[in-house]
Amino acid sequence: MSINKSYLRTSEFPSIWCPGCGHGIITQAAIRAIEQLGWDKDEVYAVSGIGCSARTPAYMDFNAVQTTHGRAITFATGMKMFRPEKKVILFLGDGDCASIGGNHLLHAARRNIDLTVIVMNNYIYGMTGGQCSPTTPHESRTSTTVFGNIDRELDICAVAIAAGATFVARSTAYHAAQLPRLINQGIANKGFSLIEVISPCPTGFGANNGYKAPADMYDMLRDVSISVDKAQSMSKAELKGKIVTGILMNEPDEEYIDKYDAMVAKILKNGNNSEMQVIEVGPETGKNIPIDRYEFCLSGFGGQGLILAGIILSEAMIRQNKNAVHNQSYGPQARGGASRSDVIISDREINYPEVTHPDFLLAMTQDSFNKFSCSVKKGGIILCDSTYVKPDPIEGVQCFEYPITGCAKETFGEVKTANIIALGIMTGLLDFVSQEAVEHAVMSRIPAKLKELNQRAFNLGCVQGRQLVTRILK
Amino acid sequence: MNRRPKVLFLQGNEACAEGALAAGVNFFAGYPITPATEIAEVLSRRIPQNGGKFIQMEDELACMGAVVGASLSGAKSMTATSGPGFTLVQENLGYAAISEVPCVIVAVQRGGPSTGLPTLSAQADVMQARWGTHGDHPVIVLCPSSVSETFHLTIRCFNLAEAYRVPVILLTDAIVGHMREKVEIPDCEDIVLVNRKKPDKNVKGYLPYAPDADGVPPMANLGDGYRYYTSGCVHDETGSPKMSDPTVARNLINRLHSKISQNRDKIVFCEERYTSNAKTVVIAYGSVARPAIAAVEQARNLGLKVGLFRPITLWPSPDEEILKATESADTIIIPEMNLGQYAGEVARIFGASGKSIKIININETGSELFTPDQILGCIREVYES
Repeated sequence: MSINKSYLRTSEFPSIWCPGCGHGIITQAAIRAIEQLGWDKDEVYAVSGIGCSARTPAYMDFNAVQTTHGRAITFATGMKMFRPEKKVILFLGDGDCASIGGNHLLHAARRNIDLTVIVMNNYIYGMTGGQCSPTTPHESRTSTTVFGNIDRELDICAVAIAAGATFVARSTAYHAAQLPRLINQGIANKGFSLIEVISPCPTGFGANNGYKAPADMYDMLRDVSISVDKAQSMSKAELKGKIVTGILMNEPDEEYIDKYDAMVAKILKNGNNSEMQVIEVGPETGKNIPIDRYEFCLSGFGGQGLILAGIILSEAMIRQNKNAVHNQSYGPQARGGASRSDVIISDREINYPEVTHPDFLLAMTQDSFNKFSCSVKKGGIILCDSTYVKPDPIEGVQCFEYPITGCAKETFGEVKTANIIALGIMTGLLDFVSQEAVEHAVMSRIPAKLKELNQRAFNLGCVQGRQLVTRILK
Repeated sequence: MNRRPKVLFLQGNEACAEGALAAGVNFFAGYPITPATEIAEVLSRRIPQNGGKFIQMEDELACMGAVVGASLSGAKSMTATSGPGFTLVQENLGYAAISEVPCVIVAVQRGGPSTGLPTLSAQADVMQARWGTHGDHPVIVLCPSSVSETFHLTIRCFNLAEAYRVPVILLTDAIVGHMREKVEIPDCEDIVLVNRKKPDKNVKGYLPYAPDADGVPPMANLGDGYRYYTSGCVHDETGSPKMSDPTVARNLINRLHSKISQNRDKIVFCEERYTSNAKTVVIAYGSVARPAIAAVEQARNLGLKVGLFRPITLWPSPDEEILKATESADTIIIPEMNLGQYAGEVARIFGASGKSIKIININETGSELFTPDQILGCIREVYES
């Protein structure tokens, strides 16, 4: 049986493989399978990792990529995702596929991405001199298990099936006639396919394990191979030491990139666009009071909406043509831990981006008042949520109190409006903050169904803020 | 023509994602990690709508493998990670370097080593970015100081990767990554994009690793008719591994570096303030440049002759630029959030030049950004001594 030489990259010949190695037989079988399918050579990506198996793509006149050890499946995933029309076939070794690359095998199988993996399993790391691999049979001798291998061997096919591969088959280099058919079926499966082929390594494995000549290993493969049909009626004890060959799994399922494409089609149909919020600059510069640097610290606990309040305040100031920097910090909990949202406003470039001595502190919990009130600048302002905070007087700092959370609960029946009420009060208190700018910023950040509620909360806050100022002035 | 820029208020990580989209990213592979995750989150929503591919891989090794595979197939591809994930990226980053695969890696720095300070900032990966993978490999590293700059440098990373067929790293940090600032996004027609050079139509004679005069070989996408063999091995111009001839290895490794050094003027960017007559120059990069600028401004107001040098390109090092910016200086102050990773590089630059200069390195490993006062204090000490 000769093969079509046009599929070979003869410039890379002679091959590196030892006499008696099974890898040439597998290479030939793969070329036959591809030839039978009649594919254009430009349409095929042949991908490998590191080791004796990894030279396979070099000898084939396809788009040939030898990647890093164990990572071929990840490279192939990127290739196939980006060019789904291409046929991607991988040639991996046993250590390559099941040891260093084991994790990638699991996840490619789980996704059912349309790759065909041919595992050239020679029970050994051949290129590095015959060390044991995850498939080295128990008690075998290798250059790192000279006293016999105490590890148990891994069944790559069983792992692939468990992880979700939709086509899995096993054969041996002895079964040269059966191989192209199995590879052909694996390639034809639109999904993750794995074909394990036991490949004799007379140099690294045979010589250490009682096989005097390469041919002895082929005889062994003939003798211990059992077809999957026959194996069905055999007991576990009878199957010990046997190699079960044939198709072990063939249950096509929806392919990963097809699912991705379906998801994209759905998103585009629904017009689900998640572009970032655009801010109009300059519409509300009416009260253009120069600001050299003004620092806010909004503090409380996670879930009070302080980060959103900080973002809204910043966006309002950008509408007023100021520069703004926002920082946030919170504990590891998503809700309930301490939360702090800092805003710096300036007409100039804001270099140092952190708030150390705020001009304005919003304290929505007693803890945050205790922690931050002493850092407020002389001449600064503290606004306390008196629902939670009983402030001590701070010298040189003006302190305003309002039951923000209580008001949110009682007036609006929604404690989540507290941050917007607070923004309103701040707007009323501070002459450089434009009510229109903050209102616009609030409305562009609030979902449609909550706009009316938050509008009312904001208006109430503004009125209360102005009253607080008036009271002080009196 | 009315092409006003769009104004957005974004986190640094969001600006990075926006920059990648503006640069035409059409493949992203990611894995969750603080403080870089927002980049993957934004792109998981936006890339599918733009006709590209997003995938969450099983780990960062896999991310980088997928990024290289997609780029070989023609994608503008990227991943984003932080400290420990950046370490896993390094393996296949080396592959991208030797087989000359354009790609962008974003590393949002956090405190290390190991899990370190997962949510807090550091500049701990300056050397990992340069030498993280084994072997003498070329790499370009850009380092933004603001959210707006993160947007623009992400685009530049893609352009440099495509122009020089090299992995390019955007080295940001948790402070810049998580802070929000105003970003002006230009109309797409005002953004200059660079795409990799394609080979001519001569499919048969294509030598995938034969360079043009600029040191960069034209790149055929896999599957476009130029069937070649590529690997992580030292190779000749055909791509075929050649281990037996030492000159092949020497020529390759030399060319991988000279394609960067011969084009350095198009790769090295920096910012200078008041350096022309400065007696003391503060060298700072990334988030630390911000309090450094504030301190230098204050020092100037006090009449002290202090300048600021900010390397935007960390690697390759701006040797000539640093020497020029410090011509009138006798002291350099380098504040950095590590134990002197860049100060060592600056010392190398002066050692090689033969010029003697005093280098004061101030370090922070507890994640707190220097205050302008700390840096100003150091400047005053220099003046008072």
